[in-house]
Amino acid sequence: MAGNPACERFIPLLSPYIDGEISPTERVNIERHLSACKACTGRAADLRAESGLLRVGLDMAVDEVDFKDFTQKVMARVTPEKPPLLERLRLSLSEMFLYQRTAMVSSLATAAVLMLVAVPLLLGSRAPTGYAGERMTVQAVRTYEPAKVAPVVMETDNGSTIIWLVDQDSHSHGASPALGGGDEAQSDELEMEEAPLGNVPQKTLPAKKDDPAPKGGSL
Amino acid sequence: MHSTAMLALLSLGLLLSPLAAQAQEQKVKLQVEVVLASNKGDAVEPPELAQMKETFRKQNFSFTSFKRLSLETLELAAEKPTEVRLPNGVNASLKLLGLKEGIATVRVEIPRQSGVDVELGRQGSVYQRAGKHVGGELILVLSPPPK
Repeated sequence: MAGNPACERFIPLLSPYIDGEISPTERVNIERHLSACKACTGRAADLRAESGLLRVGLDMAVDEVDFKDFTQKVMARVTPEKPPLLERLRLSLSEMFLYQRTAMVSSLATAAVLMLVAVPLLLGSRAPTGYAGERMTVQAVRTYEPAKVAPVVMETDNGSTIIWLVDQDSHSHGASPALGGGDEAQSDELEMEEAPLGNVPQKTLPAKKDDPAPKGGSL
Repeated sequence: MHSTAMLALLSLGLLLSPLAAQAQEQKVKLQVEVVLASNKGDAVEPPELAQMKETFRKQNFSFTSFKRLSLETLELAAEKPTEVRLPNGVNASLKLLGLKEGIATVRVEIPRQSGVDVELGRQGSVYQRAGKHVGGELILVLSPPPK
């Protein structure tokens, strides 16, 4: 193949030399050899010519390609279809946990502590719906036929209210040893102690006029 | 762009949901207890009724025994009265009359006996006589619901 034994060493390096893929030291050695070897100079020229032909051929092939909408087509192929919102949220969260684990964990821990402190405070201080008032208050009391009773409203010192119906017959007769029904016979009429309701606040509440059946409503 | 609009809609929905809930039917909770007070024995069952016994004693009632017959937390609405069956066969009827400035007014009616309008509050109870039963007096106890 090569008459000069030195050529055998340099021939494989000619193609990389022409393509500029060789180290500066080897390049100097090859150029020194080329200056002394006509055969290798011819080989290098052939390789250059081949390379030029290839380049021209490729340029011609490229000219034939239609690059219209090239970017959009490439991007359409490299960009995957947009996943659903939930999937994207899941991916975002998993990526956040993957790359910012410390920040995420500390944020979650802070949020959990805040929740643990704030929720009981909020729930504890918040009254249920309809209970904005300080205490239960009786607005009106009415009695219905055929009960012949008069309502007595007693407010207690602990904010409670007792609504008792005093039998009007026994009330008018002033009867009464003991309030609070005992046996069946006694319970038919409400009886009062000797000082019935004497030292407790009582109030008279209006009977509702719009009610068809009410009667009484006062002490 | 599309997802941004979706997120905006979701946020708006979350913001408006409490308002929508409020616009719905108003309801309040009320604890309703039926207690039999009598002079038969001196049992107080459960022991929590000792406070009720003391309250009645301070008002010169001489009942010695207090027994809880039922305890329930009702949800009262304006449109439809809620009934509580009493042991003496009478159905007590409870209804939300209105809700003004956060204070609910409830009407409690015991047929053929009495009716009461009560403004609900965080403290105290309302004890309403509800008729006779087995030698004692039934008392309807209205209280705020337990937290």
